[in-house]
Amino acid sequence: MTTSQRMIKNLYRDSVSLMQFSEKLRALEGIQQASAVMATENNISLLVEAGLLSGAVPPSPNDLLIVVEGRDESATTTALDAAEAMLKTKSADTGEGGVRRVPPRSLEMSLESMPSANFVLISTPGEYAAAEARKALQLGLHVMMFSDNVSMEEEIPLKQYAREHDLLVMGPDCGTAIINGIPLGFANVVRRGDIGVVAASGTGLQQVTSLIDRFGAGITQAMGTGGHDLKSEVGGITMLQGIEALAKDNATKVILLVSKPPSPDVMKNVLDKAAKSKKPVVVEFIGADPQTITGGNIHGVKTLEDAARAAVLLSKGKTVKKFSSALPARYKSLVKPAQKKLKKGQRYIRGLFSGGTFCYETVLLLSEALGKVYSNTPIKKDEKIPNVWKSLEHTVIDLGDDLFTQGRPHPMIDFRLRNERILQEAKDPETAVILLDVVLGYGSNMDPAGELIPAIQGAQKIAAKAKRNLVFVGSVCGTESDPQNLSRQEARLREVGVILTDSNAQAARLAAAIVGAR
Amino acid sequence: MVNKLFEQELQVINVGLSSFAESIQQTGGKSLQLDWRPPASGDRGIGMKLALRVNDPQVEAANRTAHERFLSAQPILMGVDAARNAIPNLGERTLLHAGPPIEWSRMCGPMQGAMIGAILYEGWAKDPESARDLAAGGGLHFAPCHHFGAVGPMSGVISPSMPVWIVKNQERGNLSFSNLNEGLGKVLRFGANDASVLERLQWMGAVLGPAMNAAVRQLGGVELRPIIAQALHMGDECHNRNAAASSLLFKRLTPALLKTDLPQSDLARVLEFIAGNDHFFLNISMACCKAMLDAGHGVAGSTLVTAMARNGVEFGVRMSGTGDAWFTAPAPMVAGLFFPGYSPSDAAPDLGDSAITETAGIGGFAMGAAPAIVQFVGGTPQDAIAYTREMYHITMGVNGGFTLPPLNFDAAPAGIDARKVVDTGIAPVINTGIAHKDAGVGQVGAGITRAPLACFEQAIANS
Amino acid sequence: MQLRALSIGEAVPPTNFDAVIQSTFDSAVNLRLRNEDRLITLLISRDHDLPQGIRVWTATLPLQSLTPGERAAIRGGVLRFASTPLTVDLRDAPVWKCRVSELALDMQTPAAQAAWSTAWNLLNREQEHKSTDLRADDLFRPHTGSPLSRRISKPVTGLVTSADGLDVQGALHAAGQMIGLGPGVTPSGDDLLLGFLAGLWSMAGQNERQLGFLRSFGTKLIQLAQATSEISRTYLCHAMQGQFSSSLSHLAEAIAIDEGVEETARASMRVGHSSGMDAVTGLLIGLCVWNPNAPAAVRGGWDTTQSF
Repeated sequence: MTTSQRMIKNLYRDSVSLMQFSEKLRALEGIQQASAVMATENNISLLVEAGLLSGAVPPSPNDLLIVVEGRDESATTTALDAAEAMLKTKSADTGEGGVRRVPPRSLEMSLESMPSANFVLISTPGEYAAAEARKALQLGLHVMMFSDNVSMEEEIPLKQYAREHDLLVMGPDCGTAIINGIPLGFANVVRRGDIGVVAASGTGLQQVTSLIDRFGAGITQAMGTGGHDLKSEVGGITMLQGIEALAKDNATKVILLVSKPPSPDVMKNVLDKAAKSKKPVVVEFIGADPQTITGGNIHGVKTLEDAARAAVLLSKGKTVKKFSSALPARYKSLVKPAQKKLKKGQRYIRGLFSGGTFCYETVLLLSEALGKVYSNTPIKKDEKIPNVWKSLEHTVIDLGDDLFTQGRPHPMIDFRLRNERILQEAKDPETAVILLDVVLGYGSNMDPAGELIPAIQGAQKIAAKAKRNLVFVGSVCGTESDPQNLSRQEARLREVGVILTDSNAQAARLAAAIVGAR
Repeated sequence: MVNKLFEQELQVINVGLSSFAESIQQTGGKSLQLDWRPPASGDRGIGMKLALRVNDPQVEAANRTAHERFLSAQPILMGVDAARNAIPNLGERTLLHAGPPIEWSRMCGPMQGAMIGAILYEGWAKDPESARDLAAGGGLHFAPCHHFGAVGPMSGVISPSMPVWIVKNQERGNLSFSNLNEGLGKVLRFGANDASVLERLQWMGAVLGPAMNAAVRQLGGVELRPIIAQALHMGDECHNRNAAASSLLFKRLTPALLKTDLPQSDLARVLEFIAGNDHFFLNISMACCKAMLDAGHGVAGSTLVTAMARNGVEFGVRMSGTGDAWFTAPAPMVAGLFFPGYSPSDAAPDLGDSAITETAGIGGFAMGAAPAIVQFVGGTPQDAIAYTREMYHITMGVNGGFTLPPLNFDAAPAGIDARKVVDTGIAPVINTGIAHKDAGVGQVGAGITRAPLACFEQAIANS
Repeated sequence: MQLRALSIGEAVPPTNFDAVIQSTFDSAVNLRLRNEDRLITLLISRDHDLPQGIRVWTATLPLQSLTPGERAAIRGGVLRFASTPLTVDLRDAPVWKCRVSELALDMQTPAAQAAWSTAWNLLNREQEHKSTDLRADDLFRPHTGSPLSRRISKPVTGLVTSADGLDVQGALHAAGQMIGLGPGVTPSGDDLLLGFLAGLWSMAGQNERQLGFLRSFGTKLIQLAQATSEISRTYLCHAMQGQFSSSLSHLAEAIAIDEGVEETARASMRVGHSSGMDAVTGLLIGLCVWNPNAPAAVRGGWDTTQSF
């Protein structure tokens, strides 16, 4: 008589078929006794006691232990092989389970292959985006709508449904978000930390999150609300949901809000919600007076950089004081050398931006410092540039405006238009400073420096021919983890003479200082 | 659940620019690219109506009810009788036809030919010319078979004197009907109406019909689902391939026939007639499917498709929750192989109520079990299986009673969900014969066609 | 295939969750939750509920086509699986709650005692008829029964004595010798223990000392439960919180009011191969605790007729 055993890992059979199975084993040729039990400690000792196991075996309660006692080793081995085959036949090929793996053609079909999907990113043409978003919500999925040209009449019912079902709708016209550390749309790879962001502006979100990373801290989540969320009609539904979620999120210690100033009724609700969160909330309503917002746990700030700084300080448990509007010393020292380069007559700043919020912040800061600033997205109506294709005095242009992007890729990807404009400004003898934003991250051009450098050098040549110099000032928005390699981008731009500051705000102030007191 | 999202692994379905998936995949998330195109052929209103119904609890509940009634139907062949006796409310001057409603003047060639034949058969006119005048005159009532619980292949013409199969759904008691199959060649359903056709029809009414009735009654009724289930295991799909099912039926009927008091001479002709017609079972298969689908019809809010039918000019669809409404679009042409001597220019558009088989999950939906038809479109058996597998994405479930051997005995996809058709753009596939566009010539080919998406879009628009 | 949940056990998470298929049987699929180390069970049954169960009914679903390791998730109230088009709609399904802990069963009444005896006799007949390894009567007869029976009878007696005296340590010692012991995916010892706990919870009602014993015992029992399979452990974990299957609950309820005892007992005993009978054995033994009038045999461990 020989006893042999075999362990079958993680294979379940219900009790009825296990009993039948043991019987089948016992009926095999040359087999005296057979038992199939879960390999628990107690069962093992029972089998040892019954003489069916020669020695104790390490217990593994989720595995099936088969023991047979038979005439000889050949009989027991054959029996165990048969046993294993009997158990394994079920898991043999059952085809594709009845479903053919064609690429999914609808959201519901997608869930057949990815049932634990929790998020839908929609970038279809705007006229179809709302219907796709509605389907996603009804299927219990969160939504980011990159698509724009979705009316508020469509946006509002979507967000109401989402709110009722505790789902998030980021957008429409939301180009940027970072959820669970994953960049979505045009977004940067940002360190994980404890600051949570809700932003109504894509590039605003990119700037604050990149700066937070630059300042050594990190984020939990960065949610985009889309461009119309804070209008009265929509009522800030997504921003309010975002604040609430970050308030409940244990990992988030500081909340940061970014947008243009909302209408008064929405602003009130947002600030109330922020106050109720019981966490420090940094509020950057670009263009609003921070003093009117600050109070309790709420800290109003003026620039996107101030917002990032405040958030980082608060996350470290430090207090936030009012930030200075003055140019920091390290940039102040660059002013005079730059001014020396300029000839009489060179007096204007020409700002050429790919990010709408960068443009807006720049217009604000330059207006404060210099007075009249023309733009295609001005603060004051009477400072709307008469001809977008030709600069007038101080001019700051948002090249991402619809005007420029009809039938053309976005300027964060395609630099042709901006490069042409750089050369055009170089020809103008009144141009002193060319002010630029450079945005890295997923979705953006893979080598912005490489795209800009020929244009910058070309511009400098044109100016040199006319015995002039141009001053290039800019900032690179990005992190070391972005695919474009931040340090290399900055180094190459500096190599061709571009003065780079940490942030868009400082670049604007530096440019203002250069053309300022002359 | 927003906070729940923060705890989960981000798994994104990407709808639109595929480049967005890159950032997700490269930074540790999961993404799946949707092969997206605007649903509902770009109609935004229908697109939003569709969106509101996807996963809507009330629609889901209605569909479960409708689907369950459809799947649990147990159609039994009860007997044969003249249409005027069997079909409730059939008026005396009524002629039924396949597909959605259509007036005489617009009927295609084969259907007009069949109508003339039926008029002559009934004795309402002496010759084809006066039959034609009668038809055009307005004194006759033309109606879809479907409106009377009936279905007919090709022209599908049923007149009051014609014998019809009577099928009853044991579960809910609803009845369905179909005419008896005449065989191939010069037959009424392809629009032929000469003396030989009329003689055959007379014989069918006087001898075949009563014989079938006697035999079926002798058997106490015939359960139809088991025959179809078995036929599916023998290479039939019960729309275009009916040889096995017809043989199985023959086996059941013959001993019963021999027990009736049918005269020997009639018996021989009856048996020869059935044995010689590989499509004898088709009409019964259709009536069986009709009975099943009618059981699921009429559930408010349900998007179960309960009829697909063609009249040679238009393709029509009915849906459980929209009652009697027909949603129509121009009938498509069939992609297929033509018999020697014929070409696409000879073809009539898709014709007949036989798409009721696909509606119930057999026919083209079971193509994987009967791959022969794919040869007509230059395909392989693998293609046939692929067609069936594609249908799983647009059906509400499967019919466990109908399993398909080449698919590891997977149950056939059954119960078309109009929402899924519109959302995915995958149209139901139909196996079908091709009729000559002129009356009386007959079948000129066979192949595969798809139901027009427009029908389902309209159904959703009106739901 | 789209199914509707007929009922959902109270221990099933109420919101979206992610899971992986842990095991599949002919009429049940176990899902391991992503963020919690416990199992949820999708079961096909007309009437059998579990605290951790999602119950559906269909005559045609082969659950064996689902594969262990495949993902499953609930989104928007619908349970979906990665490898098949099966979905289960959970919306509007009633929540099933085990009411055992609300029973406050009084075993002192003649009605309850009569019900108990009916069940006990029925159980022993069934066990004999089916030639099961464990027979309720044998547990209290020394040196009688199968090797398994003889091995388990000492800890069972120990369990009864310790529970009587609210001795947590003693009870744990006894339980430790029972856990993982015996055939079946849920070993007999586990099922015995499960039924036993059901008996105690049925009677404890609002009695602070008894509840205290149950809670202490339960908390520490979780550690011991590591020694058995994941599936069995899930049942034990729910048992420790007073949550049991509907069949066991119904039997306890039937005994409490002495109505439908035979029918309910038969239904309970039909569960699994011997799981049901082992659990009923445990239940009936448990109902003898904290009761001076209980059969001397059960309490003392020696012969004579098993009736009150």
